Amino acid sequence: MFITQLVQQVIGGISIGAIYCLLALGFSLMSRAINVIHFAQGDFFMLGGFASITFYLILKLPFWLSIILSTLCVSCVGIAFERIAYKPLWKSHHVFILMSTAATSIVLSNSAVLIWGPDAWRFPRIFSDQVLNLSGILIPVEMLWISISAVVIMILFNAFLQKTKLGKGFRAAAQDREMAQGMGVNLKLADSFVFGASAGLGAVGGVLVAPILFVTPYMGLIYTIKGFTAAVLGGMGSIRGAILGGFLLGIMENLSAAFISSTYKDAIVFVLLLLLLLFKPSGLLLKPTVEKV
Amino acid sequence: MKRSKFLVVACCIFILGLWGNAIPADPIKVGMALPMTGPGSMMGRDMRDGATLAADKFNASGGLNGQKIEIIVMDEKNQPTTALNVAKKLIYQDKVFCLGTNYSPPSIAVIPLTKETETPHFISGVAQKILEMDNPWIFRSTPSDKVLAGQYVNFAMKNLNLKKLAILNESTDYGKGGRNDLIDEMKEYNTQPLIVESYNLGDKDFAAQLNKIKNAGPDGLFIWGLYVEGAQIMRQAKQLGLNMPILASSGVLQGAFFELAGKDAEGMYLETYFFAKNSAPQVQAFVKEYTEKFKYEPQPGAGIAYDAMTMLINGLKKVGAPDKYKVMKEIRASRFNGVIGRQECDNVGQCGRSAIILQVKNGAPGVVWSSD
Amino acid sequence: MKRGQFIKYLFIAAVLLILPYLLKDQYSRHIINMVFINCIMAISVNIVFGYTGGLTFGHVAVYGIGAYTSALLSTKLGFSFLVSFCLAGVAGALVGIIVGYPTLKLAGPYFALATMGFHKVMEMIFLNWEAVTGGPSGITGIPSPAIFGIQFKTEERYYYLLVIVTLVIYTLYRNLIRSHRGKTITAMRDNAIAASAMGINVPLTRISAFTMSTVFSALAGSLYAHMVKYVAPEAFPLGESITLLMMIVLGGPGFLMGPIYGSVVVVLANEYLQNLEQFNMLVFGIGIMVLLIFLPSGIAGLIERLRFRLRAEKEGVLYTREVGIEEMK
Repeated sequence: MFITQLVQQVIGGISIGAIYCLLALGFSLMSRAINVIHFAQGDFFMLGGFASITFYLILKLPFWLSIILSTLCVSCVGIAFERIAYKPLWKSHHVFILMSTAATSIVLSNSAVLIWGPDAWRFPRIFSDQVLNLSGILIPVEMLWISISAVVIMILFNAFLQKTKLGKGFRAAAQDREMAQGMGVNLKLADSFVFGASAGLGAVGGVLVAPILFVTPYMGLIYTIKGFTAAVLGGMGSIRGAILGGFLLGIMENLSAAFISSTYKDAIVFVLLLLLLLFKPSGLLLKPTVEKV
Repeated sequence: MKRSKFLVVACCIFILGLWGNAIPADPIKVGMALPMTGPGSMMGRDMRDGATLAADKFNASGGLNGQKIEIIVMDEKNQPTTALNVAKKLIYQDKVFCLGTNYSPPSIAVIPLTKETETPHFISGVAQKILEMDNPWIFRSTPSDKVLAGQYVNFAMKNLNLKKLAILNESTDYGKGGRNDLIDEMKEYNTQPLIVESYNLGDKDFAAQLNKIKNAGPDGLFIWGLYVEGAQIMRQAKQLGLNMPILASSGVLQGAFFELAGKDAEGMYLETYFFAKNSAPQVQAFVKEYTEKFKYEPQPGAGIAYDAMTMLINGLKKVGAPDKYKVMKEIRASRFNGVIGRQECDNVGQCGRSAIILQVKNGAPGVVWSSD
Repeated sequence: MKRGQFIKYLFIAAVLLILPYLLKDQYSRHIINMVFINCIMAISVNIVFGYTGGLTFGHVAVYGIGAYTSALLSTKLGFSFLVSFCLAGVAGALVGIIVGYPTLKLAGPYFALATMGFHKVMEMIFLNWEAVTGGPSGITGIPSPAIFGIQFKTEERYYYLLVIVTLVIYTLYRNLIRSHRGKTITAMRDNAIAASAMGINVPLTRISAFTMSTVFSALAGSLYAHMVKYVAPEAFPLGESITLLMMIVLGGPGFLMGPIYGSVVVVLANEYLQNLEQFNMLVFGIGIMVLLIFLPSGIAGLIERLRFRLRAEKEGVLYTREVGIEEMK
């Protein structure tokens, strides 16, 4: 009985964790490339959800096309913000870009209210209603679809970064800009890629999640914090860390809610996180940075 | 020379005097401090539009001997600090005749101000504390959650014969207040809830809480929260196999709840004070006018503001002038059937009195119990 | 003190003295009072952010702790304002030490997350520890301050109280920054290892600066509680931390007067934007983004540059000027 509950919660945690992974990936990517915490990450997630609903429900495009278009559109929005708002701030201290992303969050969420209204929206059922029952453990089929899709996307993304020439170029730019430029990497493209990819990953998360969680204009901040937490948990800047952090966060949340208290689950997760940071001050997968003073 | 100057001045005064009479008197201002941005913005929009409908109708019919009502809306972002700033602006700069606020914490922040400045103040928030703050200028058209919870428990135990009840509430003032009221009423039946779980506003995943509830084996589940979480809870409850009767509070019946919950709302009970398909004539008239004017169906928040404005307008009409002392007296003496049910104010300003319980059958909600 | 500076201070003092009477209504006075409280908060966050370089989201929680402490002591235990105020400060100091010690070792985003976590934990406590904090409905009926028999019931009187407290805090803050210790903090911000190599006790300096900032935040909270006379968990949201950081960046991070300019601009702008009803936040966000681009050193940086240019033109001599956080890059 206890084991069943435990497994049930862990599985639930992995499902929601897949979504956190996508968000965390965006954070780690951004942090690694330009040492900035992107405060609007959750809002791109929200935009992805709304965009997909608009394409599918209002414009009546087929599902797969809606997903692709939403991701592309939101990525473009991300790149647009980068060009207009963040690029001019490159020379300033990174806190300026940080604040600009916070302002972006305000602009995006309030624009969403004006466009789609303050009410919640919902994607009609795409995946089947079925619930698998494996000896007492209930797994909704749609959760399965979403988690698998998220994982597939992450694998593809990682493959892109590791295996393709373009991807390697971007990784090089993240590590050492001048060297990469010397080697012929187009820095402008690399920067756009970082922002576009972060926004896109967030958007994909939103698109995947729209059928099961509803989309509201102000949901961004909560997801920004979750993605950020997951990224830090795994080690900020580490791709693998983001993925580990995402799943771990989902599991920790569910277990805390189930076995300790559902009201305090967020606080408990943070306390656990703080304890973790005491022992591993750079997250789980990274070696502690030389802040040893 | 002096005489002609005097004549010119006299003429000017005469003309101005005539002109002055032709200009309508200052409008009667109603200031509303509402959450227009942020997560509470839906209710802000609802209240603004509900009040605007009432005011426009009144103005179209001539107002108060030509004097019109003007509604001023400001954004308090659902924060007590901002609400106080905004209320001070409305009262001290705009010199509003009447103030309106929404959720409980911002309302509570403003109550001492309206008490001190003796400003009529209508509130939609349902916290019990509001009535305990000893302000003779407030009036609340929303039925108190104490009444709603009480009726719900009666219904569950007497009409549905449920004995072991579970509660899942939002951790906010609204949710906790409802939970406390439910527990208080259960005490009257010498019983207590089997299990109580809570969640945070904005949460998206309730599997943990629902599993715990399922394992405790209740024969009925109360949900006290708002509609987005409510819809998600219903979905997950069905997925996880919770088949007992589910009774959701009025906050759940809002917005796009039915679109969001879809088939998962089947069989559930909803308690409310405003129901758009309510056959009562004043409700039907209200829904029709509102939908025509604003192009979307009214939510309970609109009804709350509309009834509050109705009380204000009735008071103004009875007194015949914007004399706040007399008008407030009339407001507190209100007795009528509004669009959100019976309005009868008691000596602490609680006016809303009704409860309606609906059940969703074959995809549509129908009334199964009503307090009127 | 040179003559020019003396005149400048006299002018500022005169303006501060008569300001409540220049403002016509209670609302304006209330807003000016809110500006002062935000100033204190911005100053406290600037100590950590602008000078120590740590991104903090926890100061709003400390502000809340100060507010609740003062509220509880004055309503439930009947303590006078002065006692409640001071004890709120003590609470702030304790928080600074207890939270500061483990978290100040953490680098950038980790420190930020830790402060975020602290805020979340405090939010949960404010919301759920109903017996003490009054839960979601909070604590009402907080009394106005009465110091040595003088009642501070009106906005004008409260204004003077705030002016005095703010000036004291500003002076302490300025002395900290300009003092030897302050310079060490600035050195630490930009290169901790080098600073350590020069013999600066980095952890101790960091914690003492941090503690000072939390004391200021808690005191601001106490002032807030007695002014608004109501504390509730909703009054201390995470978004407020972001607004404070915006005030500092707009005002000029790492500049002495930065937080003051920033808080004045942001609080007043928010009030003006009210006229736009539901568009106010959108315009606010766009405004911030635009200002960030056009004010790369914040408002203080702009003012410094103007002063520098004016002086240089007038006297043709090079003056040192305050350098903000971005020029150290």
